[in-house]
Amino acid sequence: MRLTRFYIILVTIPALLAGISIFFGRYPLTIENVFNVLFGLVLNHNVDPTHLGIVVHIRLPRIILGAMVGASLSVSGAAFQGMFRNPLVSSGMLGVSSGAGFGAALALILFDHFFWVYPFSFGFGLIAVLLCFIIGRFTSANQSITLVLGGVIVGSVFSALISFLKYVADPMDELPAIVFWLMGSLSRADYTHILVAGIPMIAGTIGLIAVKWKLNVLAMGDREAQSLGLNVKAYRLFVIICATLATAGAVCVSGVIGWIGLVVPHMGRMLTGNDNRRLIPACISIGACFLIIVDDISRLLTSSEMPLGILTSILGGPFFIYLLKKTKGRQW
Amino acid sequence: MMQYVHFKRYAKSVAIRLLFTALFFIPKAYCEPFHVTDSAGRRVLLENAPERIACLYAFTGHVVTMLGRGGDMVAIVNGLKKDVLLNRIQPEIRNTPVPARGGVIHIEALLKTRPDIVFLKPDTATIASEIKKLEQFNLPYFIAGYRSMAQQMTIIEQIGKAVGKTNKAKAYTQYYRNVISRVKQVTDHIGQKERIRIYHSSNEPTRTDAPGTLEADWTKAAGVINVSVESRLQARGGKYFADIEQIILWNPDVIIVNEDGVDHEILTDQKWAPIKAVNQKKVFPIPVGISRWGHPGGLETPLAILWTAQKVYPQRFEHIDLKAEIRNFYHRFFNLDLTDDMIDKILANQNMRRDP
Repeated sequence: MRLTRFYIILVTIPALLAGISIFFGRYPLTIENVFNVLFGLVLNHNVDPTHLGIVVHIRLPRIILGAMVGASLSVSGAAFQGMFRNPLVSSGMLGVSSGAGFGAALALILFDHFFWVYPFSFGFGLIAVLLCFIIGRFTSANQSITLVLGGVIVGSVFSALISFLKYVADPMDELPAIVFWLMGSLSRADYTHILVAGIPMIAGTIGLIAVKWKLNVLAMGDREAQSLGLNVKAYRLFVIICATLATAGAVCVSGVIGWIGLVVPHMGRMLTGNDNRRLIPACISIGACFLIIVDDISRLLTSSEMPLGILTSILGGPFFIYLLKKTKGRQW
Repeated sequence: MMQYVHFKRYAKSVAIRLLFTALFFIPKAYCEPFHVTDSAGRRVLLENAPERIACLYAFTGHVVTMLGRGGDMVAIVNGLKKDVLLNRIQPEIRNTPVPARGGVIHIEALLKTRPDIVFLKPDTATIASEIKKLEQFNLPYFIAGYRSMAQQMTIIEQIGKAVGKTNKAKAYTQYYRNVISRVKQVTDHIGQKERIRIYHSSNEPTRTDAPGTLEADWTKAAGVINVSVESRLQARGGKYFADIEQIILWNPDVIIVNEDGVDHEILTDQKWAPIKAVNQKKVFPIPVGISRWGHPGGLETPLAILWTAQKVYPQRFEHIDLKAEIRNFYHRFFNLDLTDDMIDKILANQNMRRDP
């Protein structure tokens, strides 16, 4: 019974937030306008095309994509933190974000069409993780540490490559586009993004939900997990694949949105404790809520858009400290 | 007899000396040190008319080329290498060194080019460490910034004075003023309510014009209402971005874009669909010639004014033959004879920038 209530809360809060967010934006739409559009769609009524466009093609895809990206980044972060038994690890740990960032920058320089950014960033995100995995296999002892170290190295190499591309980019055309992409934004959100990038995000997230119990065992350490009869190597590979798919899918449509994959799992841990069976679903929900709220604020603050990376840190920091004070990190 | 020979020898040597003096010293005596004033209000002292010119701001490269000194550019920025027309006028720029990227000067590479004057972008000039690099080596530098048409004209005239082409620069600014007044004569009769409201996209779809910029000024001169210049937009690295809902709220009659392909993106993206201009398919790419017309760093501002006015008020500007105007412009100021095919490409904003 308690578990059912737990899941109801996890689904209701993001759904409510998403519902409220439809009313927020620069364009003044009344509650009545929004309901007219929503009911008009269902009942096939005639609605004002401007209102329809704003609600259906601007706000709704942003909210859906924001929720998906937030959920994917935080669930991957939580899985990595548990598996590597390291609280400083985030979703971009194994170089996914830097790899994806490099792929995007490369595509922006090589091609005229923005379309190529998506496959390139997704592909290079995967390549970065693959490199980490190869580095991790160099040693037989304590693979977790080698993987984390490999992640740091591959990440910094790709960051350096991004800087190099920024250096050679044409300051008039390509550089602004690269910087804009790297700062992270949901402003390009549309249904194609949701469909295409949604596949890896949802597949990865479902994969992590499926092994949430095994994550508890992995978190005990390799030797303990092995003695409990778990195929550590296979599960670790599976977790890495799922988290990578989810993160790369998120990064390729939204750019690099920092902070969520690191801090939301900690927020989740303060609220639900260390048990991954609860933590993983909680992170999906909190991550979705967090990015929906941040994007609402980004849309409302100015007549232009503020990069999400700035806001996630400014808002997330104080909230994190508040949670820490309130819960005294008891459940941690 | 002996004395006569002596005198003859003496006279010969004097004549030779005089000839040498005339050859080497007189031309310099004509060129006295002179001052030019840059956009920061600095009076830059130049000992001689510069022979070797470093253009570390694309705009100044265009101006110097227009003034006929393109062949003396010893250092440029990468953006210039991409301009198709500029490459046609000065094919050698493909090999000209690029000693500055992203506003950061590589001082050794710049020194190697031995410039007599360095033209700078105002952004670069605000970084004290960059200026220090130039001052350490006594390189005279000129900051070429402007935020209005009047300031742009002044800067072009000052650059003209600096490179010894005052008359050519004045001829250009005279044409500039002439276009403004020709357009004004017509648009003055258009009432505020009849004026077309435009949204001007700069590179990215949502990047646009802010108040107090050259773009705000020239669009006003074209007799249109630029929807974004009344708003407080958030600046990011000197560039201004608008929120898509804000653009829908402005609901412009016409959208002008300056990046190849952005017009197609705006016309097909559902997010832009509620806007009047998109609905009526009035999304036009502004031409690109030597530079992007009407861009903050563009040189063809007068043509941008003329094109925009004719585009939004076709009946009122029926009398203007834009193609002839373009042909004359590039012939007169760049010594470039354009084919019809080339003019069509300029007008269609197609393939005017290429990868170096």
